[in-house]
Amino acid sequence: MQDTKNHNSAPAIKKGPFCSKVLENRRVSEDIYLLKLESRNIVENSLPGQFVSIKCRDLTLRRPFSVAKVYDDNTFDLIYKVIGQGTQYLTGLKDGDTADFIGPMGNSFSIENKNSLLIGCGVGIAPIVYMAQILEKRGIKHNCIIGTKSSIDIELCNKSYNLTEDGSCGLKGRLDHHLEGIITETQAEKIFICGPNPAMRYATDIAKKHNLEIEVALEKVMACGTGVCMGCVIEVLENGEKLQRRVCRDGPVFNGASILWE
Amino acid sequence: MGVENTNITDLSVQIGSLKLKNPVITASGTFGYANEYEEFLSLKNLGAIVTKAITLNPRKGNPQPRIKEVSGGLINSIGLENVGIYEFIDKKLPLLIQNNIDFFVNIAGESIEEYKKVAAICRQNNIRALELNLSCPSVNKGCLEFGKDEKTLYDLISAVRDVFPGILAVKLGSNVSFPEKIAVTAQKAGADAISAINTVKAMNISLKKNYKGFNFIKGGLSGPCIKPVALNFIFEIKKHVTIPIIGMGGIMTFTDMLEFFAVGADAIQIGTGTFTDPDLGERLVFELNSFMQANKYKNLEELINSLRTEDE
Repeated sequence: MQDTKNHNSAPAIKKGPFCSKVLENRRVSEDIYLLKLESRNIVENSLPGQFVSIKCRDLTLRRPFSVAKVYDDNTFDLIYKVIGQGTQYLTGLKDGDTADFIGPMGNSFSIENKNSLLIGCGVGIAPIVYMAQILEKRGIKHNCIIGTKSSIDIELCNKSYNLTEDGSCGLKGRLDHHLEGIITETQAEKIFICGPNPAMRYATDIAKKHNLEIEVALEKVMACGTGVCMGCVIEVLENGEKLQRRVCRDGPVFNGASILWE
Repeated sequence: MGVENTNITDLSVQIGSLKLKNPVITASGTFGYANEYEEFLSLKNLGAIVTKAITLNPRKGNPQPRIKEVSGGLINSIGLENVGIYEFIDKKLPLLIQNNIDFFVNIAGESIEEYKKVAAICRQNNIRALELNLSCPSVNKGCLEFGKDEKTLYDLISAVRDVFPGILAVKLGSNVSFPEKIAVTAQKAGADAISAINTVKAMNISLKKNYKGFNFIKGGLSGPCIKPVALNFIFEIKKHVTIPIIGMGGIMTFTDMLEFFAVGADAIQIGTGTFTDPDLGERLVFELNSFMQANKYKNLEELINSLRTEDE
């Protein structure tokens, strides 16, 4: 496998499949779990917004999950919500079981020296927590909004506004009750968001109103997860032209203002 | 370590005038233009790759949803989204050539004229091998219909044959009443090989919560659930044709691959299996090589003959 002389570019970094022992798999909220795996490759090469795809035993398709945090001991966290057969399978993984995954896949949030407002809603907190970790490390000013149905038992970002729908933790209510106030209070220059489409769409409208840049990390059912099958394409508007983009390879992070929401 | 370093067993297979270094090929629409998979395997270890289907003009494909996983497989309704032959020649072909691998360009169209035009452009650009997509279930016009009717099939293949002297594989679907007649027609019209099977026409529905109405997706079914359909199709046509058969449909393991050889395939393609295990193609080549060495098969033909031996 050393024959690269016919290539102009350097050999690609191998993205798997990798196997890791399950180091931790616990419920952190009503329907949200945290899964800890080990991979030097992911810790060294992943960026916020990128994802790994896990093989779920008998299922044909892998399931994509954003990296949520990386640690110096070469471990990393994923955060997942139990939705279908794939995530149901994951809940059954016990410490010491093996997980087969590929990654890091996809693009990532831009890391710029701008006062950033990071918004994670529901299971969308994963890439946001990771983004906060990286911005913290680089000393870039940022604030977080973490919106969940009810309180969540994991260490999130510093400087965060917690919103819970039931008011069990932090501010009560949804994003649309608080976003504009927080933008003003933090004097944010750029927004990064991951969450349900209506929340991202709302934040994109508000960003436009306040003349702020916004990057959104999308979620979509994927088949290949590598960019070949065209199963996860969305429509975007770039330079006045309507184009199709693959969430798994061109994304999952896009300029929010470019997206033609379904 | 590459397979060819061992030099003990001969995995090569002849498809028309093309000698592939081994019988493992990645199927159209599941391997892009190969570069996407460099991160998972060494491309030179594969027998060949088949490109995503290319049409004359770019196609936007079908609206969402395009993918639905079902028991043992998935339904896709991509609708042949592709960049069109001109952009393919400009931007994708150089990548394939640079990768130094054997490849088939899969072509599709809505009319015989379109197939002919695309094939002629391929010839002008020195493309050696084509796979005619005559069976895509996720488009409304053309494609699937061409592979069903013997006369149209004959006319289409002959028309392409007239403008393309290279290697011509014809990809057939299982949605036909008499597989053997279709296969014989393909051979008579000048095909060098038959690729079978394409995805199977299928539908998935989800009942609405209040049981009033349902949502659905129609498209092509692939994955392990279609393997029995594929094996039967190949078994049925094998007796009637002499050209090589490239078998596919739900191959996920080494044993699956041997089963295809047993019923009549000379080479195989893996498709959906790459989505489950991105390195599957390379792994199958390694496993085949080890197996043949361990069992002292000198070449693929010996192994295949042994698989087809009737038990006494």
